[in-house]
Amino acid sequence: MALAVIALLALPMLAAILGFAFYNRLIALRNAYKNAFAQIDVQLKRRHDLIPNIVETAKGYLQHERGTLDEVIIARAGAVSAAQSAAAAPGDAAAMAQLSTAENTLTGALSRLLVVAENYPDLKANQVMIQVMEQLTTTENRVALARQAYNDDVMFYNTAIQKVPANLIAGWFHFTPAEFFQADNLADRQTPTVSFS
Amino acid sequence: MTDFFERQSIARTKTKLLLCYFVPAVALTILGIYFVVLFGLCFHTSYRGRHYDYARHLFTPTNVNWHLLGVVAVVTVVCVAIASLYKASLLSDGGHAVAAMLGGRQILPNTTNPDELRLRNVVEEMAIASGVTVPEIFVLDDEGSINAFVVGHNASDAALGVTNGAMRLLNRDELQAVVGHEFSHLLNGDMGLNIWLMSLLFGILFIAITGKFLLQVESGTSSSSRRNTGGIVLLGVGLFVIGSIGYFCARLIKCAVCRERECLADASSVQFTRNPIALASALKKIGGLSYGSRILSAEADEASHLFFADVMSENGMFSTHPSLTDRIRLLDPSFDGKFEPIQGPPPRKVDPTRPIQTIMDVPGINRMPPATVLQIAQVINQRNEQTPAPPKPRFTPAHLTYAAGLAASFPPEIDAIVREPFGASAFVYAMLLSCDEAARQKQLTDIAGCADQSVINAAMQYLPTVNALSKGQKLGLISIAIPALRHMSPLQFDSFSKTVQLLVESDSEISLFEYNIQKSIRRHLEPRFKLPTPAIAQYYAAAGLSAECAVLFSALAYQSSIEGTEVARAFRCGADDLQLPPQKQIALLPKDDCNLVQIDAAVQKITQASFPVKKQILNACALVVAADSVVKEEEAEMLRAIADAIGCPLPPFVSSVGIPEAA
Repeated sequence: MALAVIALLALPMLAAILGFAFYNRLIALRNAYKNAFAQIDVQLKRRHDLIPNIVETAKGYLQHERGTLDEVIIARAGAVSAAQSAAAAPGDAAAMAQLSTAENTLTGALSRLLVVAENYPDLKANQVMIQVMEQLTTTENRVALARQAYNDDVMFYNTAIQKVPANLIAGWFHFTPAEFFQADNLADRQTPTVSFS
Repeated sequence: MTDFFERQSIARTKTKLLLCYFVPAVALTILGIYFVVLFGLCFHTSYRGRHYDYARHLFTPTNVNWHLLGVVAVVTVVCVAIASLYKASLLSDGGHAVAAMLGGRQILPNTTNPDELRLRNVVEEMAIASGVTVPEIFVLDDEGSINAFVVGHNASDAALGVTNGAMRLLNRDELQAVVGHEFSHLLNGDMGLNIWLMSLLFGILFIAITGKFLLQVESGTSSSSRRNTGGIVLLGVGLFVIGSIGYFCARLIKCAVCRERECLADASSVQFTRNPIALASALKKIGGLSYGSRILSAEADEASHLFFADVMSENGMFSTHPSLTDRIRLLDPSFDGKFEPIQGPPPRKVDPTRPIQTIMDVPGINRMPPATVLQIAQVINQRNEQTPAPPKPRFTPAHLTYAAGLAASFPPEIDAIVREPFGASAFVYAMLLSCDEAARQKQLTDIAGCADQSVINAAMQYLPTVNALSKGQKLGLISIAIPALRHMSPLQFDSFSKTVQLLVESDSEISLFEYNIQKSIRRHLEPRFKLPTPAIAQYYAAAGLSAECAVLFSALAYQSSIEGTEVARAFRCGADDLQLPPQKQIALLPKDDCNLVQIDAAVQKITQASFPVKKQILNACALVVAADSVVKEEEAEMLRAIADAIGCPLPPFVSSVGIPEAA
């Protein structure tokens, strides 16, 4: 009788403990990708903060290109608000998609601005502009690395919630798959210079 | 005063003492449950088909039903053991997991918030001064009280947390005193003790939790079968009551062990900072704050012994910390017992439209002006003239001043980038790239496929600045870079460590410095990304490691001098100190037999030794270095590399202090 009591207690306890172990692992993986997003957030904020410097410097030279400048300003505002809502819910499909779109729009506007700036050698030679462009490039690299880390962590998490024993726990406790963050680099968007020589 | 190893062994003795307290607590609990079950069974009148009177066991306690007692004992012990193991496995995830569980938000090393920056700088200076890597820093945002904690398994796994109130209300000196208190927990070996405490106490508390659970389940079900539910309710109530006995015992155990550790930590903090007024003032601020040091989080009670001050308003026997007044009087005997009330921090408003300063235009934030900015070259010159004396001082205010000066001397462009994964990887690559043009080209071709091209370009860009740094600056910057590197993803870390390996192996000889870096990275980062293997001591006597000791002493002796006789003498100093038995006597090895590969193999084995043996060997190594009364930079570097590799952090070498003991 004693043996039966022990067995009756031990088996469900073991199952419960295994369940807890899987649950805790899922929590740890989820926290990992949320923390990885925090890194992206820092770099994106830095990127957004560089834009006003670029616009201010370029304003003096690009008197007749207001359209391009305004496009950049509007795109930046959109990206800032998308970043805030994504920071509140990292991994959420809608928020990440919105962030991707907003950042791509900003990248597009920036690359168009750079194309236009090609025609103004005074602007290109301006010291402040050179410095800020250099900082922008470095920031783009940092964003890329942080994005890669975030996507890796999301991949681990998504895989874990699909694997067999853990997907039961995931279902009961509503662990939803996270969304990747895909966005283009500014470097990829630079239109290649075409020479007809 | 005791040294690092002695303190560690005292901590281990305390842990064993803890187990001794634990056994009677479990025995009491078993007895309690036995009586409760007996009481419940009184309503059940048949046993093995025959009428059985349980009441007679209940009312005459000396007439024990051994069968029932046996069953109860086994079940209880099994439950407690499983609960303890479960909790221990939760806590084995590492310091950062426990800190997150307590509600902490990690401060990114590249934060721009001025309060967080100040905290980060204080922690970095203390870490550099004591020779450990910078721990991960957490903030408890929702707590307005003043409190702090440190969790983890050992110095390289540690996570240090501070409440929002502490970060905003304490000035820099007070913050340094509180951080010093937490670091001394780290260095006194309290970490392992705390993990044990949490696991074992959770085991005892499990009974109470089960009781509560049964009661809650009962209140939900329909009363289909009155008789049985009556029994279960009684069982639930009984378990809960018994669990409270367990809770009582748990409190007593915690207090028996903790109050003493807290006094020790206060004393050690004052030893590090030589500023008792700052610590007293921080404690006074806690007294003056209306919610003092109370932590609102639900997990706080379980972890109350980890914190700087009491998390609940306990008094007398059950508090985990000595009373505030007593602590202040120890530091500032003129204290009159009156606390000046202070205003709590304003509620934290998150203002999304506030422009955040970029790292590029942040002015010098609150850096403590170093009392004496020690030029690194000056330090090296002075070191060559000192005479290391036998009683070795530990981590002292001189180290802190040195660390502050070192931190202020980092070139701003490196300082700005080294706290995030991109810049930190670029910095590490730049340190490992060769000065020689041809060798560097070879390295670059080797790593081209493995590492990210933008990081390599950044490394090339920082190369001139990095090459101009001194050894001391490089080691300090590595200690700061490691927390940033923890923010990589596991895949990124794989390619990073592969790149580091390729860079080091590319020229077919390894320099001591490269070895040091690679070892540091492996030691402090791999546990985060790969499953750590539990360390079980395999060697309990130095005699079993005599060959490895020979390698280490020979290597250190060759660093100290070029003259054959001097080398032999230095070696003898170390070998004699070990007092090996005659058949295990060691002799100086030829130079080729003690290169870095052999040193590495020796160190791997020594890492598996027990603590007293490690202490013995490290002491003997220090004697080899001190034999000729001149501590050259290479000797210091090698000694620190060996100490770090076997897990005993050594503070940096600071002139006028001599060879430091492990902090």
